[in-house]
Amino acid sequence: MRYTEKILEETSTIIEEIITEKNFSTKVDPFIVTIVSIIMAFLVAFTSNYIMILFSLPILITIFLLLSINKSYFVKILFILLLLGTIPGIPIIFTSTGYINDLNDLVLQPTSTGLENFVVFVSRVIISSLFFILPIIGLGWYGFLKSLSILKPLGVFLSILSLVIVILPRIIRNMLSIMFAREARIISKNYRVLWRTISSAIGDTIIVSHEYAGKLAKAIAARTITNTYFYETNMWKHKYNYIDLTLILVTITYITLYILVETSWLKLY
Amino acid sequence: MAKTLLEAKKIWYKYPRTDRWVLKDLDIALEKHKIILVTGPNGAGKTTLILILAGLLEPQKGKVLLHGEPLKEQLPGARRYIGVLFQNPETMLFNPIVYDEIAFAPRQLFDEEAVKKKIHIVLEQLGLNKEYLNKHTFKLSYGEKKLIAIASIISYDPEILLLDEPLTNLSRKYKDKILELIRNWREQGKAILIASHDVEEYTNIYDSCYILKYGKLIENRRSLQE
Repeated sequence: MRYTEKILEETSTIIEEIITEKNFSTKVDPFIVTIVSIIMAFLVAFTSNYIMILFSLPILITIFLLLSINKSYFVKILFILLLLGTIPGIPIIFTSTGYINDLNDLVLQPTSTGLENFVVFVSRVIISSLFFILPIIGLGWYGFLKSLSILKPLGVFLSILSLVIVILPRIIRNMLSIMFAREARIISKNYRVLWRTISSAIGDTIIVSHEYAGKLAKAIAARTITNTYFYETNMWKHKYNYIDLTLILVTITYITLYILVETSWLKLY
Repeated sequence: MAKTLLEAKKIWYKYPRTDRWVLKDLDIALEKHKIILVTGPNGAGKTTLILILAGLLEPQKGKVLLHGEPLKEQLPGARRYIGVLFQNPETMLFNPIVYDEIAFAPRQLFDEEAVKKKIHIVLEQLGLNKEYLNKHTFKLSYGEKKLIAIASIISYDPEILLLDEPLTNLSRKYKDKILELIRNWREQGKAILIASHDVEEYTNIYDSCYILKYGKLIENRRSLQE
């Protein structure tokens, strides 16, 4: 029981840490850095070309430096991503073709093609995820939304994400209080009792959250005067500078190169 | 004669898939400069009445009139005249930052400069520090959440206030603050309905008191002040 609570508590702390808006310096425009990160995350995730992955690294490092990311936090995330990417990727090493279409592609010994594809796969997982995670850590989840609020058509989508920020810690805290209340009355060390307690706490959390969501919907409706519910927040004040311009130009160059390489107009190896 | 702002006529309500009528043939009228206290045991239907008056629930029979016209036909625009304070402030706060929470409704009515001014006026009224504006709503204490919930309503200056258990679970400090605000709102001409199971807390401020029992407002007592 204590481990479950520990995990929930840690999760709650991490969520609170992530959603807290950071004191963002004005080195770069938050909207530009966020949009560049999202574009790069998509591009890297869909490339199978390791040179394109390598070319994305300078942009990733630049974003890392511009957002002044906490190094120890970064290492922890890198380690988790490495773990998440490596484990499902291991079978690729044991393939003759570098991918698994059917069981005949699998061999008993590691192959050089397999190894090459494994490295590409893991780097894709890590780098594309980092592109997405860095602005969230650097700006905070709220800051991330705030930077995108300039895009009015995304209003509904952003408002849903903003609700997630508010609701998640509350749901976790609700679950914790439900579990504490139950643990306080557990006397025996019977695992069946423990299991019943945990599973019913999850069920009750869902019921409580459902009820909470209903009330929240009414509270939103009570203050919705116009026909549409929209997301709006205060923008960051930022004067565009040469860093913004450089970042945009580098990204455009990368996108052009990406299109040329992926459509086989240009062969880089 | 006092001006009636919001009125419920012959209201009948039961929740879906239930047989019990929560409200039966109920009439109530909210007037300018008047505070109505609706009391009754838990589950009597006080919150349901507030939700119906706010246009958030629709009665099976009867009608709700705002300024003499059916409320249903005036929604959602009519919500600018009605402020609802829910019992649990946590269910009211849905923005990550206090500023955005208070600005939610005014932003639908005014430009950002006017919104900023309104927010500062509200903060002054509530005696809150400017530093609150950048705080995260989930990091506030229960009492602070209640005050921010109130701020989010009065920021668009509604003429009708529906307050569901406004003093429950609050310390004396916050209770006194909110009671003082309610008195001020009456002076300003607002029509106020308070739903609470605790009559004692409001003894000196209400103008009329109804007891909601078995779906009906069955007793009407005059305020001790008069």
